[in-house]
Amino acid sequence: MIGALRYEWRRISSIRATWVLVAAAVVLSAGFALLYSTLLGVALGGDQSASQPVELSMTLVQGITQSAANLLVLVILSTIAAQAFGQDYRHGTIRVTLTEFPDRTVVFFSKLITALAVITVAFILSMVLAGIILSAGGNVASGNEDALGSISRTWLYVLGFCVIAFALTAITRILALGVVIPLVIAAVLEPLASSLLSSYVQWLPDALPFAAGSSFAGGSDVTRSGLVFAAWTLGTAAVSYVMFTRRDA
Amino acid sequence: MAVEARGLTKSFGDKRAVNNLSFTLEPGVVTGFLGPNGSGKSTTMRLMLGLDHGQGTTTWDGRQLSAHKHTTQVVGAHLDARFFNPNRTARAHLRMLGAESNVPNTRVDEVLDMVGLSAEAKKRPKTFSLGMGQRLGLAGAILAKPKALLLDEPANGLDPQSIQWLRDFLKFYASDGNIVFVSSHLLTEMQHMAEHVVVISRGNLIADESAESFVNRSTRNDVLVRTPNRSQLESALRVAGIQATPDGDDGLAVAAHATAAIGDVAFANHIAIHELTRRSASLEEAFLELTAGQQDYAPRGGTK
Repeated sequence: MIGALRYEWRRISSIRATWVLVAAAVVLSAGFALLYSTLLGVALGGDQSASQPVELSMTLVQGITQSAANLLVLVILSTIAAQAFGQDYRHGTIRVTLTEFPDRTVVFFSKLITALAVITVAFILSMVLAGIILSAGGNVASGNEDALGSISRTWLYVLGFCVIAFALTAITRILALGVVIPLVIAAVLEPLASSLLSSYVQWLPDALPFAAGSSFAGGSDVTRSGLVFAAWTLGTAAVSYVMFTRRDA
Repeated sequence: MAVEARGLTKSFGDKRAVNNLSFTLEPGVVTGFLGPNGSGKSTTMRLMLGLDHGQGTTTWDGRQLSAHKHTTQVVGAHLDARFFNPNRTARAHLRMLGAESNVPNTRVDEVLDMVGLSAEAKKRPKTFSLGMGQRLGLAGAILAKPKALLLDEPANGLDPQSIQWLRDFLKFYASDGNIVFVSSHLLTEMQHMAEHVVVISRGNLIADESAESFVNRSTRNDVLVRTPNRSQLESALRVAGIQATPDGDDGLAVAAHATAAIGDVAFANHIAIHELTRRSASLEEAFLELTAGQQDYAPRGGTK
């Protein structure tokens, strides 16, 4: 396993695209933090003692998590995950990889662990930078929420989102589909399904993967939404694992 | 070490691509893997490496490949000249491949130098020619000094000098006690390189023997006799139980007989002989003869 992790790290770290994506995620989340800070500053009219309009109120932790787990940032981070299999299939190097490591379970998990480690580092950097920007802006309330819990849930949501992208790429063997399918489901299909079908199928909004994931990250009905999101994430990952181990390279 | 393939079988839908193939690869010699296009050579190699799922087993030194601690020290494979990420430098590509056995960077530079890619080490291979891609693939295969090399058409795209270098290198690698299993359509080159051949057609084993005995199976191995008294000699040979057929204006082709026997018959009958030549089929001729009509993708229509 150590050799496979070393191989995967060299694979992922020797491609410029990995670092470009990490930098893009960090810069974009910093940009969102700056945007929130500026909007709140404008809304307050520079008077920080004034009571904030409810719709623009934001605590520091909320600002950090919403900056670092914005859908655009998620798409960039999920691209890093999708590249784990996507690049190998695109360039045929999956056969080189599997010749070196015939145990496909080792390959699957070394790719998953390495991608999630890089994504975690990018997520931490994003949060730190967003935190610095929002703190410096001075327009966010400190709040009294459970910061560690909120950040941990957001981190798990980011990882889950990326695992789904990773798994879909392993299933489809096409990098672009691994990135686009979660985006389309999260941004288009789920809101559409909720608005059109929720009056007929009342449980549907609660069962959708990314709606459940964002509820979990936001601290709403944590146990139920967390279980739903985990089921989708682990289910997709399990399907991709079975397909990866059973199909020809 | 020996590599034993037993009962390798693979189907794609209704089509049987590889049918119950069994053969053994021995160290010390280059083994050529021959077969017409679509005969299942690449599929067989993928089955051997566990890249494709099928029936049968391949053992490497008595064990499955996955049972070895460092796979790259057991087998180095080069299956396609384009199996690299075009945005990763040649050196980084090899460093990645060396991760499994923790190959030192000095070895990476050594193999790059060996295949003539030192000057390209820091370049991204997206601009590499097919020949350069082959060299990079070969560098990756030999990186961890494996006991067996599996190479699928490694000479494609190489210039004549590079082909000669490849031939010498593979013979040297095999002579060091290693297994070299190489498929190629360049049969003339294979004749110079391979001491043993495994020949398949439509997924079935045609031959697993020394290259010499394979060539000797061809009916094109004969003796050419030129004489001013062809009909006389033909009769004399027939009386001696030797069949001969006319060849050219004054020649006779005698199938698979010792030149001495023909000379003795001519001498006993006072027939002058102007030429007595043993003609041996080339590997290419023997291959074409023994696989005739077994191409799945034979061109239709001919040249005028």
